[in-house]
Amino acid sequence: MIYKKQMSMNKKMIFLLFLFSLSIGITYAQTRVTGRVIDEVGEPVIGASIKVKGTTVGTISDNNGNFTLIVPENAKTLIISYVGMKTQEVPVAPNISVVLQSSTEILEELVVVGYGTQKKENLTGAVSTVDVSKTLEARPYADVSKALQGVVPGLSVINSSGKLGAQPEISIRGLGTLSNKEKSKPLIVVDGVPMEDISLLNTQDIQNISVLKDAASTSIYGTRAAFGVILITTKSAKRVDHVTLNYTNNIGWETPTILPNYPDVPTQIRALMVANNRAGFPNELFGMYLDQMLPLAEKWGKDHNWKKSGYREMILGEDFVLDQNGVGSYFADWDVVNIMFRKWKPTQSHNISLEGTSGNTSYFMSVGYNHDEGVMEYYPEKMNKWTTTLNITTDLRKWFQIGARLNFTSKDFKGPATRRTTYQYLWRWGSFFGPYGTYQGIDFRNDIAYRKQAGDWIDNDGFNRLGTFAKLTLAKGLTLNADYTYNIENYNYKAAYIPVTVWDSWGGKIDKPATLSTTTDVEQESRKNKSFAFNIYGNYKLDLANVHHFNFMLGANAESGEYYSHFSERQSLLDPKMPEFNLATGDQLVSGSHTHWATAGYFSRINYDYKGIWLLELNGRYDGSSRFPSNDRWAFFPSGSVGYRISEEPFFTPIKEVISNAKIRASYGEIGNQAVGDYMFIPTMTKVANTNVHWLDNNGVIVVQYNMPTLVSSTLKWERIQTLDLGGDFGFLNNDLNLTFDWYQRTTKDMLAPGKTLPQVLGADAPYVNAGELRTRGWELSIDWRHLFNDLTIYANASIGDFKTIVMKWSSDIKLLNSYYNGKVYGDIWGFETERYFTKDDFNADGTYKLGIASQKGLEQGNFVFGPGDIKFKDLNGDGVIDGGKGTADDHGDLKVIGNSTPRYQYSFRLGGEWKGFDLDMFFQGVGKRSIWTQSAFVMPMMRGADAIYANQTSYWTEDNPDPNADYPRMYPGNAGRGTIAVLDLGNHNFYPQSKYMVNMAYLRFKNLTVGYTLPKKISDKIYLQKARVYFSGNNLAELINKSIAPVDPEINDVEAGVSLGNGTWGRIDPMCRTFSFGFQLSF
Amino acid sequence: MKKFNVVLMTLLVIFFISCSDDFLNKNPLDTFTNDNFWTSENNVSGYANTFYENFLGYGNAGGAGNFYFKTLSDDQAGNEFAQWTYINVPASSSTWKNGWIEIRRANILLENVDKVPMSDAAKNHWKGVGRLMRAWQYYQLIRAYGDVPWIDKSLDITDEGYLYGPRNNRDEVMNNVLADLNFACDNMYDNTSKITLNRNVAYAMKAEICLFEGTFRKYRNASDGQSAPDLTGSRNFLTQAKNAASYLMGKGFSLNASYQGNYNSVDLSKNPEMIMYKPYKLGVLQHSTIDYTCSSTQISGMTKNAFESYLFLDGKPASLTNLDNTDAAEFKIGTKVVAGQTVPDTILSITKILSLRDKRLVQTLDTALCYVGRGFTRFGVGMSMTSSTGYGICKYDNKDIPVQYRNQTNSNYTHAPLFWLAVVYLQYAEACAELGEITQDDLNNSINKLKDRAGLPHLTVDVGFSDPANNMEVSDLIWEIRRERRCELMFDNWTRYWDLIRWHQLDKLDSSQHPDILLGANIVNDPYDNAVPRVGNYIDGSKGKTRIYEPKHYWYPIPSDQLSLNPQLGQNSGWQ
Repeated sequence: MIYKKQMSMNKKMIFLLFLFSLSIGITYAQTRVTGRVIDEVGEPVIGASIKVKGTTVGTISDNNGNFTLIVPENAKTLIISYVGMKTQEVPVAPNISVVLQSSTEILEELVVVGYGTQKKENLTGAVSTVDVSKTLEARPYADVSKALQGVVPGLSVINSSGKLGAQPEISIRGLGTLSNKEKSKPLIVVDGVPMEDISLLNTQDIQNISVLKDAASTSIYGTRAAFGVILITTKSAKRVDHVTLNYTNNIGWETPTILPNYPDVPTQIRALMVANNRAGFPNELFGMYLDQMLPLAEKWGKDHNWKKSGYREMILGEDFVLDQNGVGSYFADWDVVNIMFRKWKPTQSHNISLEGTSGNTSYFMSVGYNHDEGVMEYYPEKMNKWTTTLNITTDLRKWFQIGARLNFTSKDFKGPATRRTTYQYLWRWGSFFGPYGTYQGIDFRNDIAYRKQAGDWIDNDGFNRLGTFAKLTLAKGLTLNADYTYNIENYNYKAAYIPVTVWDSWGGKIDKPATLSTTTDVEQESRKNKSFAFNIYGNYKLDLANVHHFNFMLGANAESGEYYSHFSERQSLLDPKMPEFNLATGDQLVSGSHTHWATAGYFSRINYDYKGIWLLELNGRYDGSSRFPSNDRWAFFPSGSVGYRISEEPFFTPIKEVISNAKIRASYGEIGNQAVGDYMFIPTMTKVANTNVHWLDNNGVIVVQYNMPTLVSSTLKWERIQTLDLGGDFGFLNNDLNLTFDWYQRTTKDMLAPGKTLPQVLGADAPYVNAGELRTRGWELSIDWRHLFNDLTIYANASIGDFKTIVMKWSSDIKLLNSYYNGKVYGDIWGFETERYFTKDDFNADGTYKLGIASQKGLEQGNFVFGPGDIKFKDLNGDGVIDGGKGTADDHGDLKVIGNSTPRYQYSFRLGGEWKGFDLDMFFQGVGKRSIWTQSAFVMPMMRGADAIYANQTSYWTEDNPDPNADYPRMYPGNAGRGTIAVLDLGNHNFYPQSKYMVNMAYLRFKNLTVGYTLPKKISDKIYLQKARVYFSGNNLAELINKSIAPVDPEINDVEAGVSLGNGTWGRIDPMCRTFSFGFQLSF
Repeated sequence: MKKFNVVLMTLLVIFFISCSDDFLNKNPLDTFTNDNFWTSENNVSGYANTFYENFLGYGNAGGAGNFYFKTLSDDQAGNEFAQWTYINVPASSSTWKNGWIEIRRANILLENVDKVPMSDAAKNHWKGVGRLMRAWQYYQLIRAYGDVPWIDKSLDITDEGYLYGPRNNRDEVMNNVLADLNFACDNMYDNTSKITLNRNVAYAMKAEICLFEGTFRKYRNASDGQSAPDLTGSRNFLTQAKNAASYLMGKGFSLNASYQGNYNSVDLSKNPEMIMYKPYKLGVLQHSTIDYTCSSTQISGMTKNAFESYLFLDGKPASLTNLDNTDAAEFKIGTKVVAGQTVPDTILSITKILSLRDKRLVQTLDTALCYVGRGFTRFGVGMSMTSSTGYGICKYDNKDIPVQYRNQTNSNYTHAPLFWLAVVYLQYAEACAELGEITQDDLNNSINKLKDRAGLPHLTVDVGFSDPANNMEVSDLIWEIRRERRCELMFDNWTRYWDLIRWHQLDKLDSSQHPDILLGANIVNDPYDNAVPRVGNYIDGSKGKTRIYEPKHYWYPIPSDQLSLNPQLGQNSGWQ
């Protein structure tokens, strides 16, 4: 949303008007003005704002562009404005006709900054705004954070799974500290108050989003803003002349983007056998003998024309056989993807809002609803979100405005309380082993049964925010703002874990159905998070001789929060269908937690500009946090920025036709970081969680255990984050083309780091010390172009940002590769360079290496011995031995940096236009460079064991077919362990971390396409609508660049909750989806 | 009016400033801190409860335990477990890391006990607990790594002398360990609880550690990268071991009637033999030891070598017995129920073979063989089990427990023995024999009671026969005492591996010199040509695997990450 700013003002007149406005409450002298607002082509402008200059008296134009306004007798000037059009000032007259010119100038925007707004032209910090209408309006996003992906350079939004309700990781300008579990979250401020979980917002309520990136812009928020601020303003109650009702909806269908699959069953079995035979393992899986199954699977394939089967009743003898013990061998080839995943899942959202003014009171209210579902065919998860908002503003006096904001959000989730993880087991074994059919109508031990028969997991997240605010104009140029907001979030879940009855295909006898997980229990947890925020700040504006413009701001802030949680569990339900504590008889378990925190700060800001050419801003904040010990609780953090608008200099006038705007700016500031984790400064002695206690007392109850006191360094200080930002804003061709560029350097001094790696004889995790220094350097560029050709508007914009983070200082000189060290690029992954596969010619008859072939003996573990067909690593240091040296940056043997996990060159571009009511918007988003070591069985076959191979893994080296170009080396089961080199990530045998099997996470995707049609006003008027638009909007429509060797979406980078990454499980998680949605927007 | 407002607001701000320092005081609410924890014996007890995590017993939930799972020995052969713990120097090691965590835990207890308001007796008890646990951890570290740094305080990051110092000589550290043990034995509470650390447990640990040290110092060999034998030290530790065992033998414990009852009981609290056990409870704390010895996951079965170590009921080994000494299983035809239908069934039975041997064997092995192609279900329903050697292990199973609490992971709730009288008897007899002062009374008061339970004739000081299998260059008596220990403690607590270490007999794990440690049952009578790999008539339990002994295997290698951090540690002999 853009606020229009009035043109240069006559100081005296303002003063008079101001005085007049003060007296108006007493005199009630009035004049009636009527008029009409039309655009360049003569169409009425609906909803244009007409205001008496210098007052809050105003109205908006109606459906025909007409307005009537009672103005004070002394009023001289009216200001007429409308979004996207040039604001005009006209003298007061009884009858006025105004033609508004459409404006491509965006320089007059007011940008929301910390505790205020600022003219965009006067901005000296690195602040970006989000085009809310193109990002959120009528787009199929229930979570605002997901919609922000790619829209602001320097703002990273990283999704790592498609899990329902999963929130992406948001960061501004990358990682800022290695403390706090290597998280540096931006502060998100909604209507002036921090908010943790912005998925609870109604996306359609959002009016305005600013992203503050440098220290000079964020330092006013103090220590929680060390890593940037996202300022969100929701639609407020403002003075309007008639009631407007808006209705928007969105109905969509979603389908997984990319899913793994399996080759045919004989191909799977052969691969497993090759691997087992090599390792000397039995060719057995849950009592099934693979060698005996192979001919049966081959026959099944031929009989079924190699077509995979859907979910159906199985035939004994045809789809499976039983051995002498009644244990089944299952060889039918199931179409796992189509059986388990829904082809289309529905989503929808609806939003109604109402705004109006009555007397001195204006109101805005809205109700929103979102519905989303999971992708599983059986017991799909369902989520419903309701949001309601009520905002009221009233003018008690001309100089005294008060208001209230009330928000309530309720998010309900329902899904299966499965007794085992779905995706882990779904993808763990081959397509023959579920099996995914029924026998005598009963399911086997697979995810169909586990989900179908699961108890319910029901949770609810209820968020209330109650805010009041007051704004006083105490004297000319002096305003005072105060607000108090109380937040309370109540989350609770209830889950029932009940038995599952199946044919036990895990080696069980297929005689009578087995009941697995025989215990039953009901669990319930409630969490309450309450907090308040209080802000008070005054503003004084002073103009001297019309060339020196000052703005002084002084304020204070206090926030405090408290968190409670309570978990209860009781076993042995009397009736699994009625999971209630009162109807359970078994053991019970209770746990909970209780924490609190507070921050406080005093802040001030001085803005100065000289004739709008030279700009200066100084900020200071004296900040305190309960996270620090009392002797080091308060600190002062200053920042400042300067700007030079060369385009406003008289000498610039001749080239202003070409370069319509040019500003260069610089900022520098220092902020303390308090987000270093709880109780970093106190040696706490926590009670060991019951699940980690493995000893019982005489009554059979888990004993109490306490952990050792945490080892805390006595010399801790605040982390100091220093940011230097140099930037420029340029406009060309009468501001049709705009360009913004920033270069920055952020240095984290005295970084609290997870200790240097200390010898383990210490017996404790190394405590955090102020040992490190981290430096991020990066740049951001965005280009906007917009042009109006008669009735065709075309726009295009692009943005790109990049940064690189380097550890500049570390206390240890040892430079272990898996720790940090001076000069390490954050995210660097060390490994071997893959050369080729070994051949017979590389070895002597006794298995020793031939002369000139570097020995990999030192990499061997257990029974694995390198031989022909195995991976040969490159002897980078030429010493004839493949090793990791001392595992340090100075002596790393044959290791090298094989990739970096940081997303580099995050970019996006948008193309669109409007023509005669049609609108089109295309948004593309991508990451230029990123690679990760996944340890995944999807990427490298049989990481955990001879479990399965996937469709992308059928090309591998065998003794019969020693193909040097095969995708994979000679098979061996179980490669997910740690190899013999301490400093490397997991993976051993053939799959030590290495260049060949890194996953390239770079991508470019067609993120959103929106096509709409707005009915001409003449038609919509006839059906009593102010506006009517129909649209299609699609998300994740295509991947234009995707070079990943993993058969999952290029954004996926996670494992299912409760599953260890070390077992090759990466990528076994809810897939990302494509969305196709339709909807309409109506205004009454 | 407006001025009033300004004044009011200003006052508000001032009020706000004045209360803000208190406002920021937020100490932890739901956790103790080191400043407010050490206030009662109850808290000390809660802190010390964490030591119980060191007693793995049958394992926790789905994880492996110390019984059956530790297969590196000559007792078990299997596909995945046959190799040495370390082939190459590992990157990191939890054995190393966890030991130091526990030593820190003990040192913190010792440093804080005096702060706690409680009686001197109580303070001494808890110091005893701390020193006992420190001794126990050092014992684990020393037997694995040899020399280790001696650390008797909780280190700070500034203690660079300790952090980056060299290792101390193991003998010197063991002398410190003995002092810790003696303090614990003298000062810990003397009560009869079988699931808490008390004086009896201190003596049991002392007997074990001192027997280890006494025999280790006696048999170690300078040519294998160790120090020369220290006979004086050895006598001291053996005497301490004998006395500790003797103390426990006078504390009213007696053998449980059933051998298997020590291993498969759902309640060991009444077992007169138990000194300390690990309790489990259905739905609260469960393990998987039974499941892993009856499910479709192949069992790491007993080796031919271990099978042959059991005596016949006439007290003689296979080569000398007068009883039928065949080990070939019998082929038998019977019936069973499959999918509701009675169908013919064939098994390879060893019922008859077992009936002639040490009664502990039939309480350890299934009576039918099972292997690839010849699955066997112990309960008649459900899982078809196979064993790498053909011998199924039933020692931990209990037929009285419903099947669903036996054949699934994390569903077993039998109690695990940790310290018990049988072990003490074995320690006593061995210490006496190694001291060279054993009497017939000593034997009768100790391992002959185990012989009675096993249905075997008594052992006499003059053994009366020489087992041709004695390959340890020890007397017939010591050989028989070692046999008794092997059979009584079969698959228990990884005892066999550490016994071979302290007896300096690790070369017995070399499969090229001792091929029968990889072999299993004699299946010559199986008429079907199953695909199971064999060597002659015997199942090849590890299918072509070899395990070659080198003297370096007496020590674990120091993990390379620790060596990088502190080169002063130095690497163990043979691992450089």
